[in-house]
Amino acid sequence: MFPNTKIIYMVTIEHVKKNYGKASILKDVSLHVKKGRILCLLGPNGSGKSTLINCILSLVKYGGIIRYNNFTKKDIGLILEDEGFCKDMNIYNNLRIDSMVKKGLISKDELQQLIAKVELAGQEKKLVNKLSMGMRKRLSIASALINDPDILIWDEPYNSLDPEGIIFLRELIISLNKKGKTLIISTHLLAEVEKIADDIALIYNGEILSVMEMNKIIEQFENLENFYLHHIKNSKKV
Amino acid sequence: MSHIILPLKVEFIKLFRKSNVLFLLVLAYLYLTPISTLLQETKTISNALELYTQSQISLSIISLLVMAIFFTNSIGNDFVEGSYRKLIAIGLNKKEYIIGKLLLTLLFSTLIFGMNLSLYLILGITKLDTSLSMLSSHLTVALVLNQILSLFTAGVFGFLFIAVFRNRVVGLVFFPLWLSIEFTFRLMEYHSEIKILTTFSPGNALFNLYNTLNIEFIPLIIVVTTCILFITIIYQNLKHRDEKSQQLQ
Repeated sequence: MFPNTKIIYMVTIEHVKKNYGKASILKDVSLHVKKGRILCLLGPNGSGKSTLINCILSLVKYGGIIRYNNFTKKDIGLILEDEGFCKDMNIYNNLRIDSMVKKGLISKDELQQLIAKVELAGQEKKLVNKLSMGMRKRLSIASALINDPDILIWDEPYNSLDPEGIIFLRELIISLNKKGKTLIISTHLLAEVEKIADDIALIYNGEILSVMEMNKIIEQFENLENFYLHHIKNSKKV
Repeated sequence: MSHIILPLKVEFIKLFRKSNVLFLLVLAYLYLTPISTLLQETKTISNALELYTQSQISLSIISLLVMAIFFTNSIGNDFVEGSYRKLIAIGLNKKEYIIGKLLLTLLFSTLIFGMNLSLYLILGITKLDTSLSMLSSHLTVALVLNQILSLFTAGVFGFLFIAVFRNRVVGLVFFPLWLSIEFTFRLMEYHSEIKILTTFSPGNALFNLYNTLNIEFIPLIIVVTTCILFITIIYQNLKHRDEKSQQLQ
């Protein structure tokens, strides 16, 4: 639409490989994450989505290059598949620790605002192990929003959310994107992806099968499911 | 400086989590037996030096055990629930994490040393009717450093088990098992004039150093070497290991 607009890549992934023992989990993955867009990593279980996120976060050693555009790990709003909270500590203290690591302690008011934003107000003193799975996910979201990050990486954020939670998350993602935030979301909920994604990266067996803009997918395949099945079936044939 | 203060602040918040508080209460309960033994012994004790020696005998093993078990449990929590992985993911670096744990271990060592010392002073004043200056005449700088270093190394022992095995149960079982094996060395060499195993095995060296009033180079060198070796293994282990999610493990 705007041919002269310069594309800025927030994360550049080039020829990334990862093996666990003899098993090759990621095979020469290259991917560019554009600024201000929502990139969804799609793929069946065990396809390498979480491993790719682990590589982006340097949680595992990998071959190849991953570059961040002018930010550090502390600037990423992160949701991990296993949330990693101190389970016998309350919501407030868990968020205090996360905020300390990210930017130095933020004020009590700011923390309260975050808690209210994810609809956990009044539950600050509740221990994490007393929270429902959905509430824990909301806590993960609050932690990811500390510091108002420009880039957010969310691994399976829809897991354990009820329909109300899914709608809440969808609206949040859209509102963050409207503010110019970049999101990398790994999931296999096609229906949700269709509603939020700008770009799709389809991973299967550790390889990127296709990277495409959402509107082009709709043009070419009518819906995301067709796109998904087309590539997965072709890959299985090969 | 923030590389030291930040991890220490994080550790300080985590220190008061429910499992740590409960664990400390259990460990305080375990302390009751040696304290009651010590109280019994005070009936036959007539001077401050004797009281000090007896308090060392009664409290040294439990103090070293408390350090190792507490840190095995507390650091084990970080790995079992994935909070270590998350902290690393959001930007705490591995060196900062280790520094935080070591500083907490040092603080805890000082606290336990202080508790043991207070007990000795309180018993001395109340049971022996001895003055504070008389009681503290046995306390040398070397003794303070020996005890704090021994307690610190015991805590590092606990950290080592978790860093290597990533399993709290293995850590909790392995440390007492290790100590009991080393204790058999002590029994084996009890009547022997040559005490090689009792002198040079790391657990025994900890115990020997803890109970040394002055500077003695052999236990000191063994404990310092052990401590440096353990910290190096912990660092290398955390540095080179993949932090996979529990689902991927």
